[in-house]
Amino acid sequence: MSLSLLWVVPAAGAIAALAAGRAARYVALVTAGLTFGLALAAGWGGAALLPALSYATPTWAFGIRYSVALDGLSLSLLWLTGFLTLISILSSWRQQPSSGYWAAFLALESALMGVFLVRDLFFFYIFWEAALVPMFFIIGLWGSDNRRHAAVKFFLFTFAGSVLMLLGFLALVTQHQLRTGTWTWDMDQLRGTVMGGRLALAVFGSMVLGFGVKVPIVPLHTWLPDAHTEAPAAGSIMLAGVMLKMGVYGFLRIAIPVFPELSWHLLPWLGAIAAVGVIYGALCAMAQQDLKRLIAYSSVAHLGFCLLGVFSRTDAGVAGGSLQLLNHGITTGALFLLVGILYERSHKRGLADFGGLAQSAPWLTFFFGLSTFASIGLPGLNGFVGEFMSLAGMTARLPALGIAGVIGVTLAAAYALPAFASVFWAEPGADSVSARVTDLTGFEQGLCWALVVPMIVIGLYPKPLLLLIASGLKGLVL
Amino acid sequence: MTAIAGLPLFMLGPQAALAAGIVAALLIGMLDEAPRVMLRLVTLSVIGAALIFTGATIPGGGNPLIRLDSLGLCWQFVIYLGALPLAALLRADDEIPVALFFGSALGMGLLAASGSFLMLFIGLEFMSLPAYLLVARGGGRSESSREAAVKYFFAGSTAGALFLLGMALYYAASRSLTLAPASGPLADAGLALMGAAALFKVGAVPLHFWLPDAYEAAAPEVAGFLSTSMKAAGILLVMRLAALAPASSFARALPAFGALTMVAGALLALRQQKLQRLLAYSSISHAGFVLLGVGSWAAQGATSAGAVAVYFYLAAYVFMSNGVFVFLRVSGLSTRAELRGYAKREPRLAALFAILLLSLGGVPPTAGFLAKLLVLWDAVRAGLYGAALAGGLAALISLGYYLGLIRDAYFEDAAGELPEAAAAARHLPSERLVLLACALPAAVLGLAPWLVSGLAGLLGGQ
Repeated sequence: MSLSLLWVVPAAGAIAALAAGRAARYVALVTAGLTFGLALAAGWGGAALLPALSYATPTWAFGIRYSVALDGLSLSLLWLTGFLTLISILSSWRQQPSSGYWAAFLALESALMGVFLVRDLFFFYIFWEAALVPMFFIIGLWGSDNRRHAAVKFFLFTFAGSVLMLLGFLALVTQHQLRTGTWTWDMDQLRGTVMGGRLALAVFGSMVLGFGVKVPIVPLHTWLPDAHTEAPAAGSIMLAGVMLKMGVYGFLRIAIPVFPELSWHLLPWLGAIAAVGVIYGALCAMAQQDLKRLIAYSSVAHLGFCLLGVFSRTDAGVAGGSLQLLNHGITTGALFLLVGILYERSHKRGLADFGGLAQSAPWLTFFFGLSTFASIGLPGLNGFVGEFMSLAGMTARLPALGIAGVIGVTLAAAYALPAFASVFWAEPGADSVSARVTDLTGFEQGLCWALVVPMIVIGLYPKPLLLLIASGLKGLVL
Repeated sequence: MTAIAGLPLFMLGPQAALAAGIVAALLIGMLDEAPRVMLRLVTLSVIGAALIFTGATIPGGGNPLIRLDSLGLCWQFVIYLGALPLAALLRADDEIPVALFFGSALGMGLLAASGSFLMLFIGLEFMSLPAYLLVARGGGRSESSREAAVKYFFAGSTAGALFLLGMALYYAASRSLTLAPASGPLADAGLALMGAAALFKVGAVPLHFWLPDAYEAAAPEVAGFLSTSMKAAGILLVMRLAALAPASSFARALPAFGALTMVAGALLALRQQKLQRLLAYSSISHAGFVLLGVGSWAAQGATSAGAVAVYFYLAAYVFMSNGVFVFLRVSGLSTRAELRGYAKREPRLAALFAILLLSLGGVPPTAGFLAKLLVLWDAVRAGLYGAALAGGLAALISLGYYLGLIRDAYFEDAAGELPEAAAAARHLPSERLVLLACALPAAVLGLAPWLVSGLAGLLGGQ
């Protein structure tokens, strides 16, 4: 029961923030801090104790009940959610006066926490969809020029996938009842549900679409560049840092466990989808002239790595792919934070708008460089661990797809390093706005350190985190 | 006299209260200087009494004309519930609309309590005739309320004639006017004709053409009443007919009608610029969802307890639809262009409006979400996968305009001067209260799946 506090506290905080008016940002900060603390405390007892924290009500109607549980996989994503919400709120500390802004972030946190906590498909879907509403307002109200269009597009795209997924859930629950005689929406009980070949394919396909829009897989990714680019910086951090992870989490928690054999047979196809994402995302990123858009497309590629690992169904691959969810959340969070700072000072985001920032803003250069290196998977930083394990897993299963992934790693260096060079090292052009960019303040440096330290720690000593995550994956997809 | 033809009089308490209300309203109107508050008091207490009497009635019993089963009683409850906002907002300076309103609700009550075709027909006409006049009195956002009312009247009369013809054919096959199964080509044809009349009333595509005009011409709160109570009564008529022969071609065509109606209604709403007309089309789309629920219900044996998805949908729709129409009345807005920047002017009203729109769009955790889920689930259980997919498509299309409205209200800046009606909107506390009373249940009922098993028990007569 106490686990429910993880989503109840931010939900209550959202209402309090709305009522608090001018003091809303303090409410937001206290609530987000408290929630992150609770998330940390939830894992305090160690992975072995986690199952004891689960809670479920009696069944209400047609097998629907409210149930929450915790394992290593959920816990790591709860930490990520709590951490990045706190970062988002701190990063917009001096910008946004309206109380709705703070309430939206807390509501978003509440829904995301719920997604990673509940074990009942009905409530999973409620939280899954409820997360769209605050993000819709965050993009539409506080985004940049094209925000209105991007907000509606974001909502409709993901809703389209989700509706199909809901129909799949309904068919799954109904089929389970036909075979076993009991109604249940419980994820664990629904695992391995037997159903007719074509129907199984349709239901699994609906989940691939529903989760795939969120990841996003190519060609369902077209909402992502708009949404990430138009959202305010803090919104981009939450979008790329946490919301994309929901899709991969859905594959890990629901789609693969429910259809262990079908997904095994489809492994080459699923792997190919992931590999296409890696290559296509990288190629698109290479063509971008807008920093934010570039990072957005790089997310498509990075989530492709996660999926390559997860779909490989090997110990190393799945654990690495799941760890990469965290890694990408932290590094992309840092990159969006820094681009947000650049934009706040210069109101520009184009690669060609800057140049020579290394001289005038050394701290900015340092953090941006480190995050870029982590993002492209430099050994010693966190991105390397996850990508290497994902690729190792996929190469053991299907070498061709592993090789495609390795090409993707090279491409990542090929889009990220020139972009970094042109912003920080190149001679500033005639209409450069670099002069407006002052170096990071102490407060901003603190925020960056909070993100960079985990990058280094996970990069050097990933073992405890990997063990924690792997403990949750045991018996789920392996 | 305590009983009419074997039926204790108190069992028709709701209908009696409404009939007494008509008389009371007309009597108050005869007073020279009738205090307005008296009429308002009568309006509210009569509908309240109807609700209480319905809740207190124990299902069972009846005579050849009247049947008081649990299904009908549950439906009466939702019908009177849908009438409450209108009872609270109807302009109290004139007794005629009050009497018309009671008359229409009485017709719905009779329809829900009827055990024979004769009574069904009486109920059908009784609820429709005052509705034509309510529309003709106007007060909406259209200049041609009389034209709309005449159109409505002719469409409704055609439906009535169809029903009568179908009734005659069915009688020829069954030799009885009670609602009892009959077979043969005559009975099938009769059922189809009566079914067409019922679909007319519900506003199913392609029999919907009268509906947008009528809803646009009527005062918003009247349109809310028509879209909830009137539609619930029409749906019950469809269900009574489908239950006679769940395997008939009429019952089996219902999912297709539902799918067509919800997709077409949503597509037509997408293009509307006038708010009240947009909501009229959106109500067509919602009727499609309910029809899909009825079709799935019939395909699964048409049991009383099985109607819970349809019932929950209608109950949720009572709050959502009345809510948005009341918002139109409160805000005085008439076009999407006027809606721009509304959230900056009236943040609280805009928030309630946004909640209602999200609920209409079926976004979790609202009531509209659980309603759509239950209907789609019913369709999946009945094996109607195609219709369920159409439902998903319709939900997506409809979000296109519900989100569009939120976008107008929240993300766009106000353009130009406001028209007088919107600028002069008074926002009476009572109006705000009604809006709040609609928006709150619409917001949270989706989190109450335990309600569903309770409702199924009530519908099943436990």
